[in-house]
Amino acid sequence: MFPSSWHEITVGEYIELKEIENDDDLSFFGKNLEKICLLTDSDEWDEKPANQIFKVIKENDWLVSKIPGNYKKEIDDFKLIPFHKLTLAEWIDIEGYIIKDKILNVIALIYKQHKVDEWGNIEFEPYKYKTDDRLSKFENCYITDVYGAIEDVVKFRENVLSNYSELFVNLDEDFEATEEDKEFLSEKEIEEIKQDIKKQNERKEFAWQKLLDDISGGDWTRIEKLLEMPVLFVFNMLLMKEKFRD
Amino acid sequence: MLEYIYKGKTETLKSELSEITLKEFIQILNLQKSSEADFEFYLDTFELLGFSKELCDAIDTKTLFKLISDFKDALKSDGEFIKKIEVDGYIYSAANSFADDEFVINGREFSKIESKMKVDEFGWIAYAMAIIFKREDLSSVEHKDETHIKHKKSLFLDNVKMDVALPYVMAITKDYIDNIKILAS
Repeated sequence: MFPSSWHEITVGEYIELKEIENDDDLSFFGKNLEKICLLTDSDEWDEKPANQIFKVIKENDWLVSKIPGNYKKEIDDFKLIPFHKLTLAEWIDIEGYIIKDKILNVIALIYKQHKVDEWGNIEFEPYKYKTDDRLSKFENCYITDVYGAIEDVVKFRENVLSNYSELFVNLDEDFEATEEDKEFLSEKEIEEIKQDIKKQNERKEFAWQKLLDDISGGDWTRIEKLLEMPVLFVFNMLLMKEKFRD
Repeated sequence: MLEYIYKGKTETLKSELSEITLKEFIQILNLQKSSEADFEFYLDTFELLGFSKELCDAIDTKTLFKLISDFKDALKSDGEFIKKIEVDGYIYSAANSFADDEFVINGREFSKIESKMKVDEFGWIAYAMAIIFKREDLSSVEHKDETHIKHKKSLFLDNVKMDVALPYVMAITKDYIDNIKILAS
């Protein structure tokens, strides 16, 4: 039975659909054929007439539609954490997951266990778990239950990066000397610039470690506590220090 | 085959689809793409299909117009699907791609051909023929083997003529235009 909308697609299936969509070796028709095989769990489509497959593609145009953004704030025992409550550790990991497109890990991180404290406040579990251990809990939930939450956390990240842009240095991926550069710079100077950018990019890989080293004042025993601090608080403090340095 | 007497010598021009190989057809399509003018295209094509360069350089306009007209008339396809061909002593059959005598290409094969269309503007035609025509003495595993398909493609380029290929090319192109472009947009 072919699904009739995004509401019937699990997160696991969505991830596989996305992998197919991003496969540059496949053509438009090939991608759709793979998707149909995936969603029907059958390879029989390989042998079916192309025109029949075209018909299925036409009838299921929801596959190219936008996924509805109304998401669930709670999934089983897990509740979506308000993003401003994310800790520095959670932010660092979310950054990595978003960049690597590991959406299941993002979901496993932002939906957390919680309890109501004696004052009636909702308290979220500390970030002591590995998201990898929880992937199976979310793999079979419907993509429509969580997709909007992922979009929102991505937007939140973009806003933070934009609001605190002074803290994040964008380095050139590569340096190619223009004709103008060649006119005014010697070959040695151009080579020095290239080496400098290369070195900075290599350092960029350790940007978070560098940040933690800076804010702990080099006292690594304090890093664990710092990682538990709300990310926005840390960034505000860093921005304040940056302003005063100016 | 069209004939033309030049300086007392008979020169011949392949003009029937049954005389033009896949390789020549692909070369013609490339000429059409790169030529800046129609007559330049026809002169290059005539040279490719048999006329000497000397004749093509010397031909007068009146004769050229007549040759173009005769060439176009001769190139017509009757649209009949030829379902079996013999190349190098082996029989290749397209029977699997027919249902109730209608040409029906399956999803996986169409997907492969479309992928080739993306990267090889005209070369996909030879690849498509290699996909559709299967050596009768081989198994389905070998039919699907990419190395074997590649070998067939290069074999067919010189040995399969356009009277065989054109109906298939037209049918695949029609499927492509009718469906994919509408869907992709």
